[in-house]
Formats: sequence, C-alpha cells, structure tokens
Amino acid sequence: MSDCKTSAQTGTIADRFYGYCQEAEIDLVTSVPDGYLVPLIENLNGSVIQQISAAREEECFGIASGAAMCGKRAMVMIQNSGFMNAVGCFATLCMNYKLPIVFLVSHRGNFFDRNGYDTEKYRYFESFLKHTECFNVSWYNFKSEGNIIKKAFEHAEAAGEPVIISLDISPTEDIAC
Amino acid sequence: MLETILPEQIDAIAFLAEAAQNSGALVVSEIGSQTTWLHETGDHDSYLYLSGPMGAAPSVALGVALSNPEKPVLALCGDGALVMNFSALVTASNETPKNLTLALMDNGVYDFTGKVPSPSVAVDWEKLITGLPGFTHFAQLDVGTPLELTADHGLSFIHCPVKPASRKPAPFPFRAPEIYKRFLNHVKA
Repeated sequence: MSDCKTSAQTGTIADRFYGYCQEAEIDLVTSVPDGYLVPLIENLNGSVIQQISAAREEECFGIASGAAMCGKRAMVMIQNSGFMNAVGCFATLCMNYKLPIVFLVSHRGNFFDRNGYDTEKYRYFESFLKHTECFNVSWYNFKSEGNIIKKAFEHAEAAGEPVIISLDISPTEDIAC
Repeated sequence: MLETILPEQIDAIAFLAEAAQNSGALVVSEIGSQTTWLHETGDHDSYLYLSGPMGAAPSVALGVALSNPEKPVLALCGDGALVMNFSALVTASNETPKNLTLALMDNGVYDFTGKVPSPSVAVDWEKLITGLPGFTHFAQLDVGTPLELTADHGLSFIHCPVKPASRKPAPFPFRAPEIYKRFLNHVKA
C-alpha cells in the first residue's frame, strides 16, 4: 500500500499509455480495435507515432513485420480472438524471421472481464500462450510492473523474437495496490 | 492463343527488377513463384523475399513503404495470394503511401501446386483498383516502355498478365532470418 501512495504512477493504464509508448520510442502501431484497446488507440491520436488501422489482424502482422525489417519499433494491438485468426502468419512471418515485434493483445473473456461470457477465446488463447515459443507476459497492474511496453521491446530486440503482452483487464480500471 | 503472347513470369519480374534496381527501390516478393523467380533474375540485398504466409506481400510492403518514405517500394504479388489478402488493398488505399507500387503477376493459377486454377480469375483488377480512391495509377505491364519507380509517384498498381511457368525455378537458398538481417543492413546503409 505504501508503494502505491508514494508512486508517481497514478490513474489507469489508459492514462499512462501514451507516455509508455513515447518512452519505448515506438515508431508505428497497427491495430484492429477492441473495447479494451479503444482508449489506448485514442491516446495515440495526434501523436508522432504512426498509426495504421487495418481491416484484419493478419494485415497488422504484415505491416509490423515490414516496419520491423526496416529497423523500426512496431507494435500490434489486437484482441485475443483476432490473434488466433492470424496464428499461421505469426508462425511463418513473425517467428520465422525472428522479428522484434511487440503484440499488445486484449485478453478478453477472463475472470475480470465484464463481458466474461466470451470465455472460449480466453481459454484457447491461454492454451496458445502456453505452447508458443515466444516470450509472453500478462499486464494487469501497471503500478507494480511499470513500463512493460519498453521492457517488452528491450526483450524482443535482445532475444530476436516477438513478445506478447496480454492485457488482462480493462485499461480504464484503476487497480488498487 | 492468348497465352502465346503473354510473357513468362520470370521475364515480367526481370523487367520490374531492373526498373527497381535503376530506381534504387526496395522490393518485397510474395512467397512462392514471385520470390523464387525474383531470385533467379539475380539476387540483391534490397530484396525482401517472403516465405509466408500467402498474401502477406502487400501488407509487408506497406510497412516497408511507410518506414522509408524517401525510397520507392515495389511489391511483387501473385494473383492467388492477393485474393487471400484482399483487404490489404483497402488498407493501402486508406494510407496512400506515395512510394508504393504493387505489381500483380496474374496467371490464373496457383503456380507451385501443379497449376490448380485460382479463384482470382473472376476478378476484374482494373475495376477493383480504380474503385479504391487511394490508388492514383493503374497500368498494364508494358515491357517495351522503360519503367521508373519514384518515391512520390503515388500509390500504383501494375497488372501483369503472365503465362503459367513452363519449368520449375532454381532452389531458393536463403533462410528467413538471413533475409531479414541483410535487408535491414541494406535499409540502414
């Protein structure tokens, strides 16, 4: 509790998202929106970070891969069910070329999700995360975890592989310490 | 009868590759016949050969084009692959990168599968592309006229009717991480 009170990290993930992206020096974000992701995408509007709205998740993977292969920091923002639509692309492009892309995936249907009726997508994506060879990390409390986006890019570039961040709560919720 | 006057895919790609080299363009090639025929015309560090999935070339090329607005970018696409990622045309049209040209090798078949017909034979590419307002140019391949690729030409589409291949291409020697590293070094040089 005392850490929470003394920390400068106030508000919600959504409040701090743009600052995190700036600090992570992201060049490009490509996304297919989801209810969790909308406040984060809106935080980037008007910023210097290039935003590409795609029609399908597989496009996002391709666009981010092209940017990454030019040395740019590219992040994909999609929902878990959308990620599963594009698993083949993830394997044959992002993993095969060993690209340091960060995937911020809204992990819908979990215990904390107010739309928790979509539990199947949660369970199937959990299964995918357990068996993929790339690093993945859950993001549910920015106050204790700090700028997980910056850490994810640092890991991705050092390891030469994508990193998946699963966003397990609504980014507009203020989680108590 | 029509097939007899169409170029082989390798000849169309050789023409486009020469234009890319003369223009200092970056080239993204689709998995399969576009990558292997491009390689057979002569290898270069500016070539980003894709090894999957089918249809990724226009999306990857869009990422390359947006990351390098000062350089022309050429995507070599296949008709069977492009219909797997039609929405990439809509996204490119919305972004309107001035430095991106999509060249479509249209032979009506999946070339590497024993020439199984592709559903793309039902597409009128000119009507499709001219219906997307972000595309500023649509052209048919004309190997008799020199082609210049520039970084401010406008989002362009070149339709290239070609014959199904009459032979197999040479084996492709590169692994994906090697292609990425040398392309990255070329871009950063």
